[in-house]
Amino acid sequence: MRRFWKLLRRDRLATTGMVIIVVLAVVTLWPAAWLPANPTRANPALRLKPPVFAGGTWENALGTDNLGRDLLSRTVAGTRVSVVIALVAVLISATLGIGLGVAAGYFGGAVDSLIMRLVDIQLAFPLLLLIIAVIAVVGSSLPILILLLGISGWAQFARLVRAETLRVRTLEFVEASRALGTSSLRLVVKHVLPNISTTIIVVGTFEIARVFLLESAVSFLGLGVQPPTPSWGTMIADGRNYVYEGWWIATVPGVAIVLSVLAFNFLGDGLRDVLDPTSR
Amino acid sequence: MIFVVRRLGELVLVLVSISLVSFAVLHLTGDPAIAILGPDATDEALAQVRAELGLDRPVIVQYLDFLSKAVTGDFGNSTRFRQPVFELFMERLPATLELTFAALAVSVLVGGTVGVLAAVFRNSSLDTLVRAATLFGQAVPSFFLGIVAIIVFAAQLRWLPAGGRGTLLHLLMPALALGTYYAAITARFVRGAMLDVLNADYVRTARAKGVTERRVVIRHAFRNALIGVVTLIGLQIGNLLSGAVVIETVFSWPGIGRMAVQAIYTRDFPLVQVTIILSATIFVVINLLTDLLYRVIDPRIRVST
Repeated sequence: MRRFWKLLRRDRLATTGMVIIVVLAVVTLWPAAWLPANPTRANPALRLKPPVFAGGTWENALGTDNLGRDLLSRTVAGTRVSVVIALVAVLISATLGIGLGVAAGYFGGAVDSLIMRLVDIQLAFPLLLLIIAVIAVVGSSLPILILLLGISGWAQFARLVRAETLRVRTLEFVEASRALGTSSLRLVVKHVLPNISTTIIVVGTFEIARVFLLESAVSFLGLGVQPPTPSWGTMIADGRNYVYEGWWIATVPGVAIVLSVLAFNFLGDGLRDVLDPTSR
Repeated sequence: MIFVVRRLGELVLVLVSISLVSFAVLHLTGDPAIAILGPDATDEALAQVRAELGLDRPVIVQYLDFLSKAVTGDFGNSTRFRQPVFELFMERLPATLELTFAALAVSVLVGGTVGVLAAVFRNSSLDTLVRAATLFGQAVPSFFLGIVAIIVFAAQLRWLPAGGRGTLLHLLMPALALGTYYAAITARFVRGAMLDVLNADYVRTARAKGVTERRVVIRHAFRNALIGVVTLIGLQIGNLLSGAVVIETVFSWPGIGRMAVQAIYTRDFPLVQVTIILSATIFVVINLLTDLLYRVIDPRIRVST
């Protein structure tokens, strides 16, 4: 474990990623009462104030939007929304994917073929279009959005977890344990899952970055997170109409997305290098 | 051969699920009869419209009827434009294809060139720059890149039009915004594939024979690296097509994506339905063709399955 940290810390990009993720965590847990302003309260007197580095004031450090709402407060509130959505969605896809992946790899045969066909079908689906179609039917709400984003990622987990399970199943100590009469479920929980946990962590890290991008795109189209709740995607959509008089409205949340996605991709790359000796 | 049959079977399954989802779009969104006549209509009038539209039949029969009409290109009329939705889709499709292929060109030309150069000059400052750029390219959402481009090149510098379709200048920003993410993936992939082949035994043999480095890179390495790239490009066409939905909205590009999003806002469900069914069909057919092409190009894979 100590060796693991040492290796990971030596990777400069991974370290950068971890620092950004810590900042994201703090921002996500930041109490709403400590924000400089109410993220949803409009104030016409403060319309279109530039950020402090572009001639604005510290009162609205990152400027204000077309309704005079404080962009720093909105970005912080939006971070919480996007992070919570991404974490829950990835948790859903991980649960589905691990369950099905282990089942496919461990039981093999018909179970395996069925699950792998499902994986192929899922991967052949145009995701964004599917999400748009379902939201067009049932309307957008937070649970629906999270569920759709969650379902969108299970196949990635299932494929890798299956491959790992196949590998672990043939390890000597697992075979020995099975020969001693250990039940299937117990074998999976005691031996298979701990041995594939590193794969799961790496996939999960990349998946969080992917869900950030997908959710922001859906919200940008007005089909994801609904106003007045701020999210990165909807904030960029607001800014789209003010490219002339308020370039910062779209830029501020956009930079937040880029940094967050970079952070998880950096960490994912770093983790993969450290945990998988063959890629080093 | 078994492989082809299996893939065709999957294609049918995917298409059936797509048609089910899109059927649901039209039929689970409240009563179309009320949508047509308004909430004050009498029960008799509603019943008559339902009978005319065939809505009084079992759902299964309605679905099969929908499928048999869909196969002939009859997807019904748009509730907003009062025109067959299939015609509307076909009118808008060329704009989306234009954008998709322009973005694909960005991905292949920019990503490919940069990837080859990074591999040939491995560990140079150029290589480092390319790797940093690919990391960024994969982290920036296309729609945000598009808006930043509008802010810089349309709003501030006034060099390029902020939206709409027409000249090549109109195409430049949307194609770059959509293509950048995929160019980054292509560059990363091509770099990796080139490094693999540049270290392969037959390339070492070629060098040992005294073949010039230029010829080694072009004739021996690049051609073999291309095999994987073909698959990558095929998969990108489908994704670019569905990514166009977002970019069309950013640049007011008159394609099927923007049409579909507007149709959702105006609750024009037949139009939403046709867009989803047909673009999803294009997506899965392109993926299937790519998969088959890959097997034709690389005999090693053909033999092993």
